[in-house]
Amino acid sequence: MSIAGSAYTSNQDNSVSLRQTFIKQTFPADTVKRGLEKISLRLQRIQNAATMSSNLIGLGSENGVSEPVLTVWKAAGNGATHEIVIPVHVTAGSTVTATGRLNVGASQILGIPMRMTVEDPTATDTFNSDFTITSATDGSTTFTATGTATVDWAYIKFRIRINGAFTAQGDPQITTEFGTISLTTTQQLGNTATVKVALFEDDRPLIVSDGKLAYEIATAMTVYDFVFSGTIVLNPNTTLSAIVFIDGDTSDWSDTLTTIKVSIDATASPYADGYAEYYTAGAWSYTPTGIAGTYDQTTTDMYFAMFYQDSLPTTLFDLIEWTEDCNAQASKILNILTVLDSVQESIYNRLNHVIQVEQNTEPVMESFEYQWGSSPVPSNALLLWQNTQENEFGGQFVYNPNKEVIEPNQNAFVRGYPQKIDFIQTSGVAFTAPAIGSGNFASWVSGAFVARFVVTEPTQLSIKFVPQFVDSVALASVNFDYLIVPFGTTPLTTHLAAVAEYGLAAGDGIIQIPFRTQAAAVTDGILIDWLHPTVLSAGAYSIYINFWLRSGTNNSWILGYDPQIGASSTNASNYPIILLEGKTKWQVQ
Amino acid sequence: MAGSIVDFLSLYKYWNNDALSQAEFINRLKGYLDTISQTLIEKESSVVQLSQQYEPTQAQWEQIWIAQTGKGLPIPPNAILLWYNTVSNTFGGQYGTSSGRSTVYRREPFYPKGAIIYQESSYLSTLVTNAIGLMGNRSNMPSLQFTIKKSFDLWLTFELTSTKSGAGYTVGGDFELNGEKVGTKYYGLPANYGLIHNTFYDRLPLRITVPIYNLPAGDYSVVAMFGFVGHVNSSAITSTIGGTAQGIRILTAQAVAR
Repeated sequence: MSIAGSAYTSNQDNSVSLRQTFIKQTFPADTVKRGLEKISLRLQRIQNAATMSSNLIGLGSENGVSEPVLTVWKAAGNGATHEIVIPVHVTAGSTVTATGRLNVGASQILGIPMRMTVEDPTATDTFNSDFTITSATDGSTTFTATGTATVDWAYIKFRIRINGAFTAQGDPQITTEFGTISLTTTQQLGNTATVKVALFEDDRPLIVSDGKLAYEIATAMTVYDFVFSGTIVLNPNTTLSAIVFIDGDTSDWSDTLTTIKVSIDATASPYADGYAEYYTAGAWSYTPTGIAGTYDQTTTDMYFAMFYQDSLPTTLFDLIEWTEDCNAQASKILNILTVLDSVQESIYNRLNHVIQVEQNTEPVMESFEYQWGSSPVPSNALLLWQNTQENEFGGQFVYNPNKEVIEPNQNAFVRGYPQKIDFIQTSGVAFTAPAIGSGNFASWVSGAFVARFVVTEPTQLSIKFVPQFVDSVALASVNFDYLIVPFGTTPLTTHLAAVAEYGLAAGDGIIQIPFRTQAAAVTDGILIDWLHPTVLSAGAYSIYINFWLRSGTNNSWILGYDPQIGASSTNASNYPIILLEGKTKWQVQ
Repeated sequence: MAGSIVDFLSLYKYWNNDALSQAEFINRLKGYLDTISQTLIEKESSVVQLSQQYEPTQAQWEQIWIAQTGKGLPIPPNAILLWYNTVSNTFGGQYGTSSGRSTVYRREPFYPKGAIIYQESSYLSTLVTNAIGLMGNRSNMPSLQFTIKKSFDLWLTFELTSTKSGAGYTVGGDFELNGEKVGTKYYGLPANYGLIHNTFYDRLPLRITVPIYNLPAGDYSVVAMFGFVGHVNSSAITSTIGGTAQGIRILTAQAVAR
């Protein structure tokens, strides 16, 4: 789920003073509660600040990766309504776009109305986005919805109404209690990923016996088992959900994540009347977006969907109720500390740490990793090079996940005309016939050149050649014309005909060479450098170039010294060297 | 440096069921939270925007930094300074400092992509007549030695004119880059074309240009190569380069920043 519209204000004051949270040295329960609420709100501001800072990094940063929220909700019959609540950080008035994938196992989706709202969770539902999931025969479909946030700290709430595609199995209300819930994820994540799982009953976090809200698993594992032991009492008419947070870079997530499998063990359930079926035989696996799903649900009683949100996970202890029981306070405090630890680690990882390398040559990835002290460097770190040889700023660098290297942070296509030559073809020139002048000043002789070239991106072609003219007493001018056509099979021996066929005519591309004396004509080549005026799109081309020569000395023709290019029956001349250069043109104007 | 700022879980041992212990806990918690707050203040990337006609100066950046952030000098290296060019109504550029320095630099590579960061030529004009094959006669070919400080694409060009005795051949050229042969190109001309199969017309200009992509920063040495392989009528080929008739042979190296 992408959260749009959280505009960053340059001079926004994110410097939150936390020191003022507690001012008294006595701590009645309500004071502690108020203090915790203040801490919570300020941590939310810190989180927002950290998120916005990360946003400045742009695409490819960790913040650009959607964090998945896996929500499992139990079955319902025809016409039943499910509601999914996801707490998020948004900015009031901003537009929120939610994209997700709904997977309903073996059943068909035959038009499921969905509604989304982004609002204060305590407010009366006023869904501001109605949409319908279109039918899908494979049991899964994607959706997109937008809404406008009404408050800063809001819940995105989806309401899904099953529209006749499913068969209810028993009463969907849960009134039982049962012993153990275990969640198992089976996945392969990269070194930068961490996995956290928390259980919710509606929006109430389930506190398991060891006092943890969320389970965090170390990185670089391939199989993750989350076992929530202890007794959990589920209330009637509630939705059980498991939220899986996965922090990792894009490649880790999309390339290697295979399956998230959720199973619930209800063997300890005292009930055998069918209610427990909602939580038995459960083994649901789902492959996140971009990978063909494997959904091996064994009953049609439970469904789950995966949603994505850009914001950080909610500060969970927002949902904690303080207790007057002193013994229970210790457990709450541990919960708070756990969340604080997680939050501050998230903040730390999202800060724009400056990693600067000072040396006289351009640094490589190992240079920054050495400076940072570990590998990899944070994805949103500011990587700077100070060029000590020039005593100048050397450049900003960025991690390229596709090449898995750190390279200069610059656009692939810079404004204007870079001196980047993308291809070149030279020499190998042959003429079908010598170009020999045989007339007077007004007559032309010509030779022709053909070559094939390929451009891979929008390119401007330059044509350079240095025809050398041998034994011309006085060369009056050299003209050339050219034609660029898509590459075909035109053979060299027929290219002149082909040129005619393509309608080559004197016109653009003609360069008039100033009148030259005999000596100059003999000893000098003439550089012709012509830039094709239009940009060629990617493709294969043939280029035909024709030359026209004429000679004369002050308009007087000298017999026996015909201008020539390529070859002559009486005088040797050189083949012209033709140089084609393509320069990328990417002018952002 | 990777990790977290403080260890909140270490505070748990201070929480006990008495007011004094809880006071100690809260005091330590306050300290930790304050540390986080200060870290955030220090490390956040404040954004400063300046819209004007000309590229901002050091003094203007410092002035606008103080005005927009309320923070003092020097400008930290994680600050993001943005200039909007009001003349062209476009983004003018990003600026910033580096660690340990107050100077505001343009946040752009010292060697921008596509820039020619090295270009040099060397030539020889000594007359050489020999029956040479490609890679032969190394000592009579032009060479260059240079040092490049960043990754780059290298364009090597070799230009020369030769004459020969004998009829018909395939001419070729390449380069020796740090001891490795690169960029070999052959230009074989069929017998029914051109003057070079005729002993009477024998001058041949050659220009070989090859790109070598994505070379790392370092020291480089390059030598141009030229020679013949094969011939049409089995007659021996002797080539002549240099001297007054054939002129100079030129090696040009051009490094383009990646």
